[in-house]
Amino acid sequence: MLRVIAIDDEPLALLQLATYIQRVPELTLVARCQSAVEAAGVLAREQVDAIFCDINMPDLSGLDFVRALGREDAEAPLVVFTTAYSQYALEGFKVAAVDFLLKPYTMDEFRRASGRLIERHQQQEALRESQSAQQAEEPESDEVLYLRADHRTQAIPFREIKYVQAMGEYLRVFTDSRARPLMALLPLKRIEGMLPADRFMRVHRSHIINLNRIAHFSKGRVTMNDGACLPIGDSYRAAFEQWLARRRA
Amino acid sequence: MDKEQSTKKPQLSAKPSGNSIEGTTLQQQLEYERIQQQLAFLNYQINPHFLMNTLNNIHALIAIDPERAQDAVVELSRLLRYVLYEGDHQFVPLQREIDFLGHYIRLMRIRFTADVDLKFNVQVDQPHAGVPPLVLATFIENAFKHGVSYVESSFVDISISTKDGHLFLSCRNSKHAMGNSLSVASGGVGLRNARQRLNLLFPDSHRLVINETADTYGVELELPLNLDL
Repeated sequence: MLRVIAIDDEPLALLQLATYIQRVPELTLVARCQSAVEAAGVLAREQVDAIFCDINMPDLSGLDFVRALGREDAEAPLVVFTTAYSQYALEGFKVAAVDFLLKPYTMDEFRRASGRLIERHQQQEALRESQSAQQAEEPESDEVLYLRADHRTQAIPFREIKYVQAMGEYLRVFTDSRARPLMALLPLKRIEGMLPADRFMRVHRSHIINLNRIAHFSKGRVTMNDGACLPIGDSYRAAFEQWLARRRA
Repeated sequence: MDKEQSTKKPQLSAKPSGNSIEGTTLQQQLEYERIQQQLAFLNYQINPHFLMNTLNNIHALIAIDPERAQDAVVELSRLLRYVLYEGDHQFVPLQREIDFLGHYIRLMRIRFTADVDLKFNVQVDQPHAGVPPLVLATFIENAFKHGVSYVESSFVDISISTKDGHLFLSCRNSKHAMGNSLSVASGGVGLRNARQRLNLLFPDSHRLVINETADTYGVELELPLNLDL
């Protein structure tokens, strides 16, 4: 369902436009406006997916109005222009109108323009959904650590890793999504090479920390924001303090 | 067809000088033809925007008020008949020009809301005297084009009268701050053509004064009537 507004300075032309809109089941008429100024008020209050807009109006032309809406903005409503003047067509498409109705127009032509509008709206929605889905989705493969643990290869997004601790020949990977650390048969040196150096740091012979998860640091100990308190080894202190110095205010 | 017309012997007032026909030299003949060509170019042409918008309004009117729609079609056909069949005459009776303006104004009335204050006064005692067709059209058209606003109160005030063998037009309209740049541009051309046409038709015998203030625009036009029609 598309929420639309109709704009035309001539009352009868506006009535005709509104009548046509009401005949298309996919369109909901939110408001009819006699001027672009009035339409701007409606746009400020209501969610509007598309506008049908006359071009030649006193006070403020439809072209200037649509230009002012900011076509760059993905949230800006779609536009179908209506006009009696075919020479505006080119200029209309320059401001990225979906379609153009030359007055007077038939119901068939109006349906066709509405069809294009609905199609474009669906494309927009699909694009928006896939964009937001992508953001919510698992990170890209180059953002994931693949680790053989608990008899299978586990995918662990970097951002979920809090810190890694060596225990003899094993290492324990503490993550957000798992209550217990993952156990893997792997030297710490190997996993150090697999984690991005700008986000993880070896701070001890047996610890690698996620630098984004530090809560505070003092007296040779670093406290992670889950409360874990880890020592900083003497031979790693210089590197850690250097990193810290670059960031400390 | 144009060629045939231009080879006709010069007649009536559009001839360049007051000389009689026998005195016409080749040079005068050429000058006359040149002026005729210019005039043909400057002739008022119906604004397609007006025509299409009017049709669009009638289209809407058919559904809600068929009787008014029929009246509007009659009004429009009379207007078109005048423009198409009499628009190229040298002179028409003044009454025909006034009738045309009446059709035009009533058709514009359909397009605009009632809050535009519209006055059309006619006080003419020589309705059969001749005027060049559509000589007033551009001024009336411009008054509507620039005079109407929905944000501010607006008016169009037209008055036509005759006195001592002369025609007087006074046309005033409200001016609005947020003018539509597109229509202003095209209105400029119309006014320039109308002015040139008057200069060719009545080089020394017309008076065109434009009074522009911050909020009104006024045109005063005076021209001689052709009393021999």
